Amino acid sequence: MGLDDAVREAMSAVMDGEANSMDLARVLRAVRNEPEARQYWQRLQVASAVLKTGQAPMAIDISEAVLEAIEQAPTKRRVGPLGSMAVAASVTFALVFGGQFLQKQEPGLPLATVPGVVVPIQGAAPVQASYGVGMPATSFIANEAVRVVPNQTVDEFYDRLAREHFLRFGRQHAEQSAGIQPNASIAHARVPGEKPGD
Amino acid sequence: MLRLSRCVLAVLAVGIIATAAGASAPEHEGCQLDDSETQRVAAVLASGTSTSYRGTILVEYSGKREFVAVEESGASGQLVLRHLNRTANAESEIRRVNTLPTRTPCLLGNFYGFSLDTGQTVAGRDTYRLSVRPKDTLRLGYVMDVDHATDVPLRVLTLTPEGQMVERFEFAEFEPIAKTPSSAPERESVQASSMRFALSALPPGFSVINSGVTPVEHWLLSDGLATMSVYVEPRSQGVKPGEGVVVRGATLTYTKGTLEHALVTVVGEVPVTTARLVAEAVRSREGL
Repeated sequence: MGLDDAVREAMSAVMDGEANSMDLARVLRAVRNEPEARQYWQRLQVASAVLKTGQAPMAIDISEAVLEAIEQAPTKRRVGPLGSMAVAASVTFALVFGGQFLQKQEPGLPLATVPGVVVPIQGAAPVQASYGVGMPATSFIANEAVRVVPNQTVDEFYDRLAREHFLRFGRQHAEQSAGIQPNASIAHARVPGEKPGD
Repeated sequence: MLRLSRCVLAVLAVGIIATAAGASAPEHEGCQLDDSETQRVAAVLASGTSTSYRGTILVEYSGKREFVAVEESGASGQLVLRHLNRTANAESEIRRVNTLPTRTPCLLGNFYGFSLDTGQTVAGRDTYRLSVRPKDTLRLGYVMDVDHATDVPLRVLTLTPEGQMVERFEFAEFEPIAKTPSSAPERESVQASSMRFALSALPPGFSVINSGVTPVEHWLLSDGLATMSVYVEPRSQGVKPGEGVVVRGATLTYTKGTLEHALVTVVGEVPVTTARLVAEAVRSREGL
């Protein structure tokens, strides 16, 4: 029996960094259960790596952490209230999912109090807070999913560049934007120090 | 069904953004805030230039917790602070605070929902709670406990559009001080025509507040609450196109090497979606 077209499409989406949580779930399920899917996925990764970096990847794997994250993901992602902002939501739908998988938060927020509840903030996960009206829980933290995106060399280069540019431009951004922020002190308190990790 | 290529999506998105930006609601259209919300929001927006204070802020984000002593902030147009956890006996840092055009509460109401409630006691002071919920996924939300007497936010939680907290600021000490308002520093601004790059479109609600060419060409964009700075420089031929991102608290830094040989960096308190849309909209003037 041949590999399902939907799985192939989902794999292509993952390779392009445009996958949503359903695509990732489909890919990981197929890779776990179907040898043919594993082979196809590996061929895709090798081809992509050779095309983009000129080198074949040394090892290809999908971590258990990703698998667990995917398995805990809700089957539907809440895009947000539409109403008058339907146009923005449409735009978002087109480009956002890749971005959501791209986003990485530094790990390890401590316990913090949010309105009405005390919530643990651990690992890479931001916490569920509330605006005072019920908000849907979002258990899926997509940060780990970035590991399945191929072309690690280029990705790592740009991640490093983003980190350097945060140090390079962060202070100027704070100075320029402090007058708009709800409290100007906050903008400047965010400015990174000279030492890494500050 | 065949999946659309990234290229097609980008073109589609830019087109839609341009349409949306052009169709954004005029300021005088029906206000979505009631009178008390309008009054409170206006007071919070004005508090940055009307009230001076000193105090100590607890900053909490991404597994880190830091205390910042604010020795002076507000009406003087400058900010004096010390990061207490970075070095022993930290020296005071003087920062300027530009005066920028603010949006009216009604205009903000097109993109954010506001609600008022009773706030927690912060730094021994009574507060009211102003919750700011984004109406789309292109901006962050805030829960602020705002000082009753001065309308300065004393506790600010920054939330993703889905309601996940990414950052917390809270005053441990807060003391209003008398300070004569002075003229704020002139903001740098550069004629757009002298810049090598341009923005072909903006996400709904955002506009260019400022621009400059030092250290590289850049724009400051804002919707009245959310801000992002966009820096553009030529991409070296030896660097392949790609993208990377780092997030610290509410501040995201997104860097993209475009096919047009530009290196775009967006630094701001916005979701990665918004940064990505703006980076997609950067064009070389020669191509416009």
